[in-house]
Amino acid sequence: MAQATRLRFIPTLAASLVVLVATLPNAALASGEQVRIAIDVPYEPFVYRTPSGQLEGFEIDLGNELCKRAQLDCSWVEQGWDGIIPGLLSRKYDAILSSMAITAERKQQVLFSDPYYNTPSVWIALRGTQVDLDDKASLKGKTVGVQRGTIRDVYITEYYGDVMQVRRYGSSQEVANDLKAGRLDFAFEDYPIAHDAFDFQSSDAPFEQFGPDISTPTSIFGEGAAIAFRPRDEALAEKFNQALEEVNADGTFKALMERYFDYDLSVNAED
Amino acid sequence: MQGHKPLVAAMLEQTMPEPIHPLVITDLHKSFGDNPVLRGLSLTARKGDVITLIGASGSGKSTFLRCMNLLERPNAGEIVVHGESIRFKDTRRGREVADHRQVERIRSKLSMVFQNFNLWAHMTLLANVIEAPIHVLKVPKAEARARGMALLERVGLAERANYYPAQLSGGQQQRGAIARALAMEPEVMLFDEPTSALDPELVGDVLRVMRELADEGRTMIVVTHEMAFARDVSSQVVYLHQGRVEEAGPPGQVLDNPTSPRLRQFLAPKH
Amino acid sequence: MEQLNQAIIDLLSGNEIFTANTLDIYWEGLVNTVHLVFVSLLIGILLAVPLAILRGSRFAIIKWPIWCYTYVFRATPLLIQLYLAYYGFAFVPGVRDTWIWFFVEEPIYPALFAFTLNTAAYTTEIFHGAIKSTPRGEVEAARAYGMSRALTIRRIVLPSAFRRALPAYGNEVIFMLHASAIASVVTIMDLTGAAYYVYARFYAPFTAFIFVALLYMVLSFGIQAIFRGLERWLLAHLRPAG
Repeated sequence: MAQATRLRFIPTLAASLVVLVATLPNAALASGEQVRIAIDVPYEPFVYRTPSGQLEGFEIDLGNELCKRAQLDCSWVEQGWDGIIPGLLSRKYDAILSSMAITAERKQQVLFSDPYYNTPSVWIALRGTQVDLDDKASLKGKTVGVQRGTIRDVYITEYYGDVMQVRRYGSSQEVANDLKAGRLDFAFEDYPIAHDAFDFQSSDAPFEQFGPDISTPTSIFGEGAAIAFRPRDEALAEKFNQALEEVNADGTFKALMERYFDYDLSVNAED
Repeated sequence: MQGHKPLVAAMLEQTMPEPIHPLVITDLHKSFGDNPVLRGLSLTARKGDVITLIGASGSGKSTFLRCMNLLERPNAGEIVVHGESIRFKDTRRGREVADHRQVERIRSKLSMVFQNFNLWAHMTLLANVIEAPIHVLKVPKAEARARGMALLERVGLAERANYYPAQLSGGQQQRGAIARALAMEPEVMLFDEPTSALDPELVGDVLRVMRELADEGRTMIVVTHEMAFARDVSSQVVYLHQGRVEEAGPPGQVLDNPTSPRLRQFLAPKH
Repeated sequence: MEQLNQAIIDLLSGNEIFTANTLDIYWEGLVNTVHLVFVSLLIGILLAVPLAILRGSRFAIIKWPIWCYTYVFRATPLLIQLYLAYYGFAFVPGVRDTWIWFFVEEPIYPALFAFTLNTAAYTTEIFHGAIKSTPRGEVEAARAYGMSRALTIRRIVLPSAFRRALPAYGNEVIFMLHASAIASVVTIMDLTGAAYYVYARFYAPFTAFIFVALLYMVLSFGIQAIFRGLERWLLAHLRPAG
């Protein structure tokens, strides 16, 4: 009996050591370290897939640039929006760079870097829709589509959930699909997404922005999009913050931004 | 169309007026594919006759019996039940029943008792007995129930009226099946090896009931191997061999003084 | 009673996830799930009975189309059928101008359509198998006593077949309950959709999904209890005497 116990002790000891090492703060890891970054694809023009299957977009370029500055060996992990924070917490990857807005709720679960862009959200509807957003009665029974679990979901549910039918989708593309198919009266999307998906530029596009840009209350809309880390990874977050400062200071950020957007979405831009 | 009256009956009518017999079969032929099973069988059952069909397996006795109520379709020959001849028509697939309604009506006058009882498993014994009278003969429910209970009393199963077939022994099931057959007040009762599937101890009970029916004057046609029954109860014994009537006559004659050598061999005690 | 109420209120206010709002969402999810499953099962079984009978027809022109239908719907995933119903109908040219659009626009109708046809296909095969395996002797006895084909089917074959199909059909009902969980991919707020909502809002996968799992289990127990009762009643003929 005693011998068997001793032998059983060894695997238990080994397992404990493994667990111990795995939970050491990341600060212990050397530089040139590998960082996996999660991103929800597609979210044009922040990230999308080219016909040849490559990932491209503003956030891809920005992420790669930041990693270069911070001397990190980064790889991208595609992850659907629904599971993106739990995936971070269960260590499937080390960071999230996916247009995630800083909100109080999220701050309770993750650590955010400094924000790297800020855009309002907009209502999209068929051109010529006659409805008053402040008049609840005129909205009664109308349908609005949002991406589930985003700040826009929270906003619509709280402010319009009692009069409008809210439809929640897994991705912004599904929202766009159903609006185009005629199933929705409105979509409530991030401005860049709406701009590209619905071609706001041309004057004869069937859909247009409806009403003003919405970016308040900040308790819901947050302070802008930032990179998310596990709460203990302060050192890693700091590396990204420094890199972010650099690219903002030397104009790289502006150049990247202009490649994808004809408007300014940096954090200190005026709305 | 062919004449309604069978040839034999017509001839008889011209010679002398005869009472209408319950069952007259003339020159019945039946083949399964290329295999001829019945090669010209004739039989007349007078009121009160108890006819036993005996023969080796494959001799066609069961098929003959099943042709009487059209469970098998004869290829040629006539079947007259209580003066009504079954009408056939010629089609691409051979000779078929011309009027299904007529067949259903005639079947309701010919009750069959099967080797495997064939009670309806999801109904109680009493329900089994009254099912056909109610739905085929349109007897009112209360009347059918009363008659059904009397019949079950008759075969000694009154206390089991609400039992399901699966809860009864083989002998009880077969007696129940006989009660079911009696409930239709048939012209002729057809028994297809009624005791072959029973344990020896239970055979006696069933044969006793059958003997009582015979004593009552019922017209019965029985396919069986029970020679004692054949000798004691039947008014006529018919020995079939390879689809033909080899010998027929009163039991004393056929069983005790067989003329056909094959019959002698059939009756000889087998070691 | 007072204490119980107070305890529940304390529980609700002491956490962020099970607030009155989210319980509302769960309730909506529960109602939608039960509604979706119940209606599709009901219409499904009404379709399946005649289809199962016709499936055994002698005429190839009757039984082949039915066989094709059941084969296709059992050989493809329900999710695909749901997508096709939801997206497929919406892109039929000109459908938006017809009255059919009302049924295409609301996600509940395409979902009901897909679920109903799916369960009808499986149920048809279950009943068909049960009908085919009706003991031949019982059918023979019915015919021998002068019952017509229709009467035999109505009084003998179907009652016997339904009883024998009961266990398999009970399974099918449970499967439909679990399969209904995919309704949320077409924005229907069913139980799983409610769990997704809470999960996405509060980043609490365990709480959100375990609670919903418990609700599914309660529903499953309910269904099983009903079927046990049915079996006790309808399969009485198989129990030993006494």
